[in-house]
Amino acid sequence: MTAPSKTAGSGSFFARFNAVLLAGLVLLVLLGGLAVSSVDQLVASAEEENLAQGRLTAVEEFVGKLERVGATVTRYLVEGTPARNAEYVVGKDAALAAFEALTAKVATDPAQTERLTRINKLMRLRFIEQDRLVRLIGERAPLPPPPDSWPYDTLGPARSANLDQSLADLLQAVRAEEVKRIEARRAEVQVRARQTSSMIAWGGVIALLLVGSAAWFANRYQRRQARADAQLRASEERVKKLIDSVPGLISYVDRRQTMQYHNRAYRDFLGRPAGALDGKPYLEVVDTEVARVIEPYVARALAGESVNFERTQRNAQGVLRVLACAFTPDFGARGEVLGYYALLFDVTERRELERLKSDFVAMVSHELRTPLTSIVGALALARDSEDMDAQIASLLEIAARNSERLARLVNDVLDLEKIEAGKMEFHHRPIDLGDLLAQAAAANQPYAETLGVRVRVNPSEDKVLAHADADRAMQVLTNLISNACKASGRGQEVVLSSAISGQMGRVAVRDHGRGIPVEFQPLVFEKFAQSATAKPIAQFAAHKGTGLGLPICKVLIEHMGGTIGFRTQTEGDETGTVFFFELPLA
Amino acid sequence: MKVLRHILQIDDEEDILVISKLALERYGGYAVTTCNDSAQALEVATRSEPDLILLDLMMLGQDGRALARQFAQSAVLSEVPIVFVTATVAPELRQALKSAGAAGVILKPFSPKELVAQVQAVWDQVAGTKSE
Repeated sequence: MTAPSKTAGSGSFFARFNAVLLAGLVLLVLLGGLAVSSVDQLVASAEEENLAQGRLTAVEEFVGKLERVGATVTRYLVEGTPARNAEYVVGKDAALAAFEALTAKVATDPAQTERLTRINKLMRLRFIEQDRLVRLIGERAPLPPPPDSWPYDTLGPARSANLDQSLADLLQAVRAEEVKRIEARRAEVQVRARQTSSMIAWGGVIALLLVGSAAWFANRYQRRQARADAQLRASEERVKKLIDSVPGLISYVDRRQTMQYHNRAYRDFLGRPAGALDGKPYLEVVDTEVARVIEPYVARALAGESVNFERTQRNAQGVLRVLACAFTPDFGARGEVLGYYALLFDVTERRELERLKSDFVAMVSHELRTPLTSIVGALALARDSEDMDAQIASLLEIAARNSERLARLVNDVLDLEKIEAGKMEFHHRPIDLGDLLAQAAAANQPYAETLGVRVRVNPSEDKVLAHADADRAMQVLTNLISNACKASGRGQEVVLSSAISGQMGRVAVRDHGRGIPVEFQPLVFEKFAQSATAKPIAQFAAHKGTGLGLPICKVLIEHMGGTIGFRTQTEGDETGTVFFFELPLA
Repeated sequence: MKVLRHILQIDDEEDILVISKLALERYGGYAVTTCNDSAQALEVATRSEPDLILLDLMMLGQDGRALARQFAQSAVLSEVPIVFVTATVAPELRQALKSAGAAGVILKPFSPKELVAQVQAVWDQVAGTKSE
């Protein structure tokens, strides 16, 4: 009862869990992507800065070389050492190379390129000046008058200073530009680094949330499972108690004939402690005698058949008990037999009561028969006397009729008791229903005549052979004919007929009486229905029966595998009743 | 074939004896000796030498079957057919009686004419078997 809703609940539970997990993962992936691109940019910015640093270094290097050339010229002037000449040439080449390197690195934007072009021009002007000075020194020519200030310059101090100043200014501008760039990159890197770190922080938070919610879900799931388990255990316990409270012996035996379950009554019957039976081979649980008796039934149950039977078994106290057993196969999903449920009821008392009742009925009937014999005999002999007073004769007739009725009643009660107790023997053989009708008509004609009724057999087209006990079939037929005669009016006809109806042979007894009153129709086959509804019956049949005739007919016919019924018409021109029974064809 | 003339009826019910005797005499023309005391039955039977004995199955004192066994052991009575009269209808009992040597079983209650017809039928069967 709780299982389907629980499944649905855990379904939405898992759906929610999955949705949260998925959303978290998507966020994490997005953040990761952003962080990766951010780090990429960070790296790119760092590289940019690096390059800018390289450019700055190139500027410094170039400045260094340039100053060195200036210094070499100055030394040469002071010392006059020829080696300085060569040093100057080398220094100049190095300065030019440094400038090339600087150009390669720095000529990235128009402003810097413009500056470099001017620097180049100024540098070359400077070199022309220095070349001239170096040549003059080499020739030991008189040098221009010593300048007021260094660098000594052929251009004259003012111009030279101007040139140097311009060069220095330009270089400073180049340097400043690069420094500006570096700072811009640094600022960018700082921003990106902040962004990246906040992304990483958010990612961390989300990951934590994910882990937390997973833990929360897992915990809730576990609690729910635990609750469901507890409910299941409680329900199992209830079922167990319920089964234990059943007074019948219940057990479950699997396909390999191992006992899987049994209830308290079962244990108590065998007098075994709890836990001593489950998991044991069934044939070890019961004794060999019982095992031998039940073996064929077990085989049938394991073949998928529901079997019912009765057997006796001694209980733990050694008392022989009658057990009504029902073995019900347990089918798996594919229709295979997994085992069987055995339900055993102790019917000893019931059977004993039935026996007592049966004995009682037999005894009472016997005790009734003996005085009846005297009454019937005495009346018959008395009525057979000559010279009897008419009034006495009529009184004796009443007494005789009623004593015969009493005798029939006793016989019927015994018959019914015998059939119900299964004591009546049936000798089935093929019987010709046509012959049966002819015999019954002949046998009942004398009785019919006393009522002014004629019994006629409607000839059948087919020979109908039924599988039945001839005497019992005759008993039923006689009863139906006798009822039909009683229901008929003087001068009317009772018609017997037989036919094949499907797999059955059908016999019908038709009268043209007034029909069975509607209120009595449901009671026709009930025991003692006549006396129970005396009034309608008094109209229906002037000649009372025992009230057991039709119930006996019904059990006899059903015992022979047949059915019995009637159709009746109480209004209109064609009133009357048809009683019919069907017996299996031979 | 021997004709049935003399019947001995043993029953502890005096009324049954009176009615049966009257019926057997009136409708069958038989001579009937009656005995209502099972203790004296053997003596009466031996003395009266009947052609057939009608024996109540359940009597006070000695029951019909025990008496039948005594008759079977008696030199005079061993050949006399015994017909049991009983109100018990159990078919297995009837069968048991027949296989124990009873010539026939008549069920109570019976009408006088039925009794005579059944007794004669049993006699005809027994006498017929013997004369064959």
